[in-house]
Amino acid sequence: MNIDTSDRRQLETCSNVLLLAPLTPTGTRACFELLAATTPPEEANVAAVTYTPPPETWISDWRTHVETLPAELAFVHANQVQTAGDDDLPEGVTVARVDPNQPMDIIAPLTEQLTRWEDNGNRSLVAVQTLTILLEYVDFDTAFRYLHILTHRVEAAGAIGFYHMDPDIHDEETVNTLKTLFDAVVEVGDDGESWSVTETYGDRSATSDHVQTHDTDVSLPDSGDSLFSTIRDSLSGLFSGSETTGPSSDSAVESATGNGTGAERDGSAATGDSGVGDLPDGAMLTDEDRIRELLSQYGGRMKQVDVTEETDWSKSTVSRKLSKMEEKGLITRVQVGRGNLVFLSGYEPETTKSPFEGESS
Amino acid sequence: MNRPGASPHRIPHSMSESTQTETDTEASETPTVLIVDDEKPITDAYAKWLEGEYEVRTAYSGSEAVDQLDAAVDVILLDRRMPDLSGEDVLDEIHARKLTCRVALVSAVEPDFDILELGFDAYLEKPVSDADELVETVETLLRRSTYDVQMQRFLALANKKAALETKKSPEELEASDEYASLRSELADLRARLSDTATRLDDDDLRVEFRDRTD
Repeated sequence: MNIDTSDRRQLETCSNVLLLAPLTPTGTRACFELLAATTPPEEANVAAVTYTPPPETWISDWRTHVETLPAELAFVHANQVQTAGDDDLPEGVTVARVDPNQPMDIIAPLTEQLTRWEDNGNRSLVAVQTLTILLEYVDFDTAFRYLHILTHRVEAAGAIGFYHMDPDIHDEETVNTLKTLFDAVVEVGDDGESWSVTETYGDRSATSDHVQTHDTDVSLPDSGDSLFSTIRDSLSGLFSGSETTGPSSDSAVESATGNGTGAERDGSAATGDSGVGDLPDGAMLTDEDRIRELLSQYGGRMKQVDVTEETDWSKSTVSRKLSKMEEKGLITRVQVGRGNLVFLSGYEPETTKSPFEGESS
Repeated sequence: MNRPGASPHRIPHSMSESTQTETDTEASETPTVLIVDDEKPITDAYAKWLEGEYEVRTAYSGSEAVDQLDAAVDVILLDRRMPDLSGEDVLDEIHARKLTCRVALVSAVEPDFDILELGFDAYLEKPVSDADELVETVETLLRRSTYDVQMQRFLALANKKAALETKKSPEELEASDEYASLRSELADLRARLSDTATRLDDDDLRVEFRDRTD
């Protein structure tokens, strides 16, 4: 693959990146590590636009994957359910709680935040997690226009935006249509091992595909500070953990999530081929507890097919158990694209507008 | 991927995209404003304020307005209460003819909830005593209109490109002239949209999203 000078120049002005990754802990991890690799946390202002996991969950996941919190951190949390952890946020972290149905309620505070950071000497990054949930709230056309304005504002502020989306949930046409709004697309496979970077408006040959050959790519010329090379470098090291833990990508996922959420779990949890949901005291957990545990590891929402995969129960068993849980109000299921998304109670998209508007910080 | 919630006046854009794109995005074109009020002095005063900046047409009644309406009109300042055809009747006619002009309803009546149903773009309370206020309103509508038209076109092209990518193999795409020109038009339009978006303030954007999210 050759990237000529003009391509590289374009990549250097790259401001908005679509991150196609599964809606799993692997995807979250990819998102965080990409952010951290673009700019060291000590020099970064991070504005996170979040939908389901509350800020405190975001922060603990970040600490698991990256450790050092960004120099400046602000949330625009598009979910009006108050969570208990609000008072425990680290000092200086702000949260604007907004109505996810109103795109301008997200754009306006985000723009203000980026303006406040403009001259503080750090690089500003925006993480939108995730478009998959955003598309639950507004129709496609509105989402498209909203994202156009958002990407424009991010670019105007000299920031870099990362927008996560699970490509398996949406049809190919939807994903391809959205791609036109971004400068580059980074795709991380389900296994977290295969990935590619494509420049949306450049030469189509400027695509780098990598499947477990991260460090053998030497054909790319050194392109200085371009975002493209930063992304490339960051991805090279992204899933290096999985190379040392053997061929099973599950084990990599597990060790990552095990560290993050397993305060009550002991270290021996990360044993080989067991799934995320297999806890050492699994025998003591009811099936419902197990599903809830899984859901919280996934950030409060996951695909129904992932529940099936993680538990090794049959599709119909999972469906039956989830129906029961839904009846009890423990979870909510929403049909998205080709399948169901399962939301832990308190994390679900609100179908009706909440009377509570405005900000809290 | 159509917007079911869009207000009627927006729908026509997709039907005359190509002509509209040209009239709205070419800087050399002077925008056309149609002023409609049955009180002649008011109409003439507005015309005087706007003449330097725009191509101005005037109508002293609803039926005259209907005669003056055509695709060249970008913005219409429309009195709500008129004896023969009311402003609302003219609005109906605009929607029926699928015209793409932006409408500022001008009225001495304080706006009430009923006006939300009417499908217009701005509401000016009479009396409008200030030329700046009028120019400001026209400029705002033109700005939004330009963005909306470009966005509509961009979305249509993005859809088309995505559809091709879904159906065709990479080799077929590589060989397709249509695909190549789609890509370059998209890139070009994206740059122009970015310029337009720079001029939009938060109020413009709230309006841009208002019809979609309610």
